[in-house]
Amino acid sequence: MAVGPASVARASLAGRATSRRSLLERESVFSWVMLAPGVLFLLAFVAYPFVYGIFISLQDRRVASPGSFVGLANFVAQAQDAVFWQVTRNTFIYTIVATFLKMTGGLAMALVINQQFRGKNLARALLLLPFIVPTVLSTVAWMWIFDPTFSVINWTLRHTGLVTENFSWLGNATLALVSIIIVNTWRGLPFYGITLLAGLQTISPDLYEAAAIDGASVTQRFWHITMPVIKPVLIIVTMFSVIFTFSDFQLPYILTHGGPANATHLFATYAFDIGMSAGQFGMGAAVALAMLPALGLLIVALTLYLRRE
Amino acid sequence: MVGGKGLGARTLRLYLPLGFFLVAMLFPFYWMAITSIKPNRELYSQKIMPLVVHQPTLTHYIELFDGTNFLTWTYNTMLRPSSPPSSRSCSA
Repeated sequence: MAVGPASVARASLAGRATSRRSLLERESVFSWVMLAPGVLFLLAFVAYPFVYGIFISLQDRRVASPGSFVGLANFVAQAQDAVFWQVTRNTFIYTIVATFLKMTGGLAMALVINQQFRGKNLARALLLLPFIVPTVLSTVAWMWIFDPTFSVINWTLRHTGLVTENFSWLGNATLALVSIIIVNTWRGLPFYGITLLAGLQTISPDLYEAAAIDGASVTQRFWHITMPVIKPVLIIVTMFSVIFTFSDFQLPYILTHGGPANATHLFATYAFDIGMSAGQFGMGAAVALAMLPALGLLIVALTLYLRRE
Repeated sequence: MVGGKGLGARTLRLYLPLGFFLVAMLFPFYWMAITSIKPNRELYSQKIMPLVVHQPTLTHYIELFDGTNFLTWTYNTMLRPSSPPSSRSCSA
């Protein structure tokens, strides 16, 4: 058989194609090709701003000036500032109280809407509304509810004879913190409710029946059947919720703008005010990075938990 | 769920808490809705009972469509692909 130039060319072409395919078939190469878009995206939009934030936090950098390296001076200045520690305290109170209320309330909501009743789907959809509407919108409605003069809460309290004077919901330091916790709880509770409902629906009714036949009380059934099954869901929902509550910005910024006298400033709003409104980028970045240790611990705990599961 | 039977137990376990959650979650929406159709003299009065509308008005809606660029804002929200509503999807 004569070997013509055409068949040689075809053979080499096939050889190149197979070598390219075998390169792609190697898992280590192929996996990186597939990962590249995602990794590039993360590098550009997560890693770069993060590293740049650390870089800025080590500088004395203001609007329209190139900035100079100052080491940890921004962090030292913050640690000596009483306002910073008030912000830290606010953030922890806000996160702990709101998360506790959302967790218990959400669990109660899930247990209620897990029962059979007419209009169940409609009720579930309606209860999810606070979580669905934009925070900005619902917070403006809450501003009117908390208005010092025309607050509907004050009207109700006065006319039921519980109080004689109006509360200044957003004007009093303690009440303002209470107010943003109320609104955060209102907004986040349905998230817990619906997620825990999903957890509850995986529980087979047989378990409850068997426990009832064995004489377990309602409380015992809750602690020994319901809780163990939904515990993983509860932990993960709580962790995520803590992360987003801890770094919450929209809600306190719109409702109180951090006031009165920094009583409702959280890390995120305070960092924004210093960095953007006051134009001290370096100091603002330092405040924002102060969130890192607490959130880092949480993320490590969450990762360890997920790996163990 | 197995448990107490009868209307009393069901009220305690279902209707009361369900009613509480529905009122607590939906009250701000009710409040937004009735505030939008209240005339100013009702909005800025400390005497009138605020939970219902006594004389509904469409003044605020007319002002919204006539006096502002509300339709442009709606267009910006709905059709501009750059608006980022997804950025709030994780605000629990």
